[in-house]
Amino acid sequence: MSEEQIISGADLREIESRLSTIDSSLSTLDNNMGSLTKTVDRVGSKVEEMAEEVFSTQKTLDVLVEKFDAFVLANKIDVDVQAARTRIIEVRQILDEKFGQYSEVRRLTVGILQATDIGFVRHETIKRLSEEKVLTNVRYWLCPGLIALSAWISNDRPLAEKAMVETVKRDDNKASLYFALISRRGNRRQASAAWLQRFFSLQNPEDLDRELVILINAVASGVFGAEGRSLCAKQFEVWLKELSERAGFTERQRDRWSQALASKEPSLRTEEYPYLRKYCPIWDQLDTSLRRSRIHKVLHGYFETIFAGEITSSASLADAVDEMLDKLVNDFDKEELPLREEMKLLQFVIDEKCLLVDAQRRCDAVKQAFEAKQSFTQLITNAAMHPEIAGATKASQRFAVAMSRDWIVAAHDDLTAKNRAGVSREISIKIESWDGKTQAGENEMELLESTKSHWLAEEAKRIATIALNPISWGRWCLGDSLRHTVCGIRVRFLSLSALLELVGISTKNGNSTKSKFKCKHIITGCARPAQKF
Amino acid sequence: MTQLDAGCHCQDPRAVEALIAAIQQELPEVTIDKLPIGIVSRCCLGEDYEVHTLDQTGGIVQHYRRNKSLPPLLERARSLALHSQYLFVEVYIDSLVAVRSNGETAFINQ
Repeated sequence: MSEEQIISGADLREIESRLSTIDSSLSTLDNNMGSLTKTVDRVGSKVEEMAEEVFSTQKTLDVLVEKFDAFVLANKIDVDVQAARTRIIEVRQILDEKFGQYSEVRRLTVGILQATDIGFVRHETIKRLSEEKVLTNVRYWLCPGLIALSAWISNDRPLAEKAMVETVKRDDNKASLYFALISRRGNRRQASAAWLQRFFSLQNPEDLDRELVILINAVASGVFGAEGRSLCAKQFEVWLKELSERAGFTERQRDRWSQALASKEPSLRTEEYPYLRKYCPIWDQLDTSLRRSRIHKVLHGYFETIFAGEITSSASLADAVDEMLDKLVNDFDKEELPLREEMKLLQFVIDEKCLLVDAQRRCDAVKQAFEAKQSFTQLITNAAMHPEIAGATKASQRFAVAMSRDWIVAAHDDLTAKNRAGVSREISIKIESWDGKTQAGENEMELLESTKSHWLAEEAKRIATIALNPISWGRWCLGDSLRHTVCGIRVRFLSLSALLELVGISTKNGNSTKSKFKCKHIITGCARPAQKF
Repeated sequence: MTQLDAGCHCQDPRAVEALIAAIQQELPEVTIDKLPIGIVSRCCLGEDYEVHTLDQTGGIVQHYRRNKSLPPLLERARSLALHSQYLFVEVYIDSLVAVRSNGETAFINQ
């Protein structure tokens, strides 16, 4: 008992005062926390504001960067355009100094050609002007060409021959074409044919300019007369012989012609062979074989059209040949060509206000397209089979086909053999669960028998799988057991009702009779119009 | 080839090797993949026999009935060999060459 303590009498004031102090401290802390939260919120909102500001600053910066880039680009373009303007003056000066007389010679040649056509200018004037130009342009190929032209007009044969030899010496290729075209313009067929043959003999048959199509068309169409056609045909034969001696050429040529012939493959009409389309699993293969087998008729018709009818001389072709002469005369010499190309590039920069590199790229693309070359064999294949693309006349088509005769025959043999190899030996037919095979429909009766037995077997199989329900089964048994004891309608009705149910199920599940007729109809009438089942 | 007529009597092994190399370059040997795998021709033994294979001298190697398959890669020549227009069909790895009785050929790249 002595250990007992009486607490009621304890003095708790100090504890209470300390507790109240703690309480006030806590409320102070709470207040402080509140204000801290507010401060944090304010900081948060400030951060958001800052983020927005950063975002808008970024946008402004982006715009600025874009503007700066545009400015830099514009500046570069300005610099390039300015440089081009300066350079073009220099190039023009160089051209004027070095090749200025060339332009005069060109203008004079064109003038003489036109004047001769009209017959207004005196021969003395032509001769004097031509000789003056020769004195100032020692190296240009057209100068002696001009002298030859004027000598020819003036009927001065020795001078004409001298000038002609000199022209050929300077640029054989251009000179041959020049004299060929001038002779044709002057209606000297024999001379023009000889010059043209010479021109063709200087060409590489693997690498022909696109423009030569016009000449070949013109030759085939008789613009250079019968002599031209015969002489050029000889040259083309030389080319073909030369090409044929190259390894793999004949194979490539056969292949090229095979492809060209195959491009005439017709399509089937959608209403043709409706049953085979639907019931033959290898229809795609049949479709290909059928289309390929029909190509012969199309090709026959195509070649017949080429060789049928008369060929009328095309005036536009003669004009095109004359344009070639103008172009040849106005064409730049190889010495001045780099400067002319540079001038064209600089002019492009100035006109389009673009960077020099961009202009260079675009000019290169144009040049590449313009200078695209093709082989002689490709040219005649296109002329024969795709005249609309090649711009070939009917005469050129005949010419091309005549020259390619052996290849066409060989390619046709290849194509035919390919088609024959691709024909399926057996045609399978699948109608619902029945399938059969035939080679050419010779086993029609056998297939009909097969479908008949197939559907009978299917029917039997279905009936065998049908199960009567217990009530029907009971009715059947009851009817059967009572037949001997009670003779009456009731007994037969019970058995009959169960049988009818069996037949009903069979008819509902099966439909084999309809399928059988369907098979018969398809097999016997593959070529008849489609009929719905 | 013009060096064959050089008139030099000395025996130089390097010159011989160079000549052999020149000949090989001019006339390369047919590599094994360029040789035919087999030759298939139409068989006339009777109804059931369709085709037979031939050796390079034209001798029959084996007859094949309608339902018997030809060796691998030769089967693709069967339908072409059966065609009356062709005497036989040479089978290569990547092509067929159908030969007519007059010697004309048709190439089928596959």
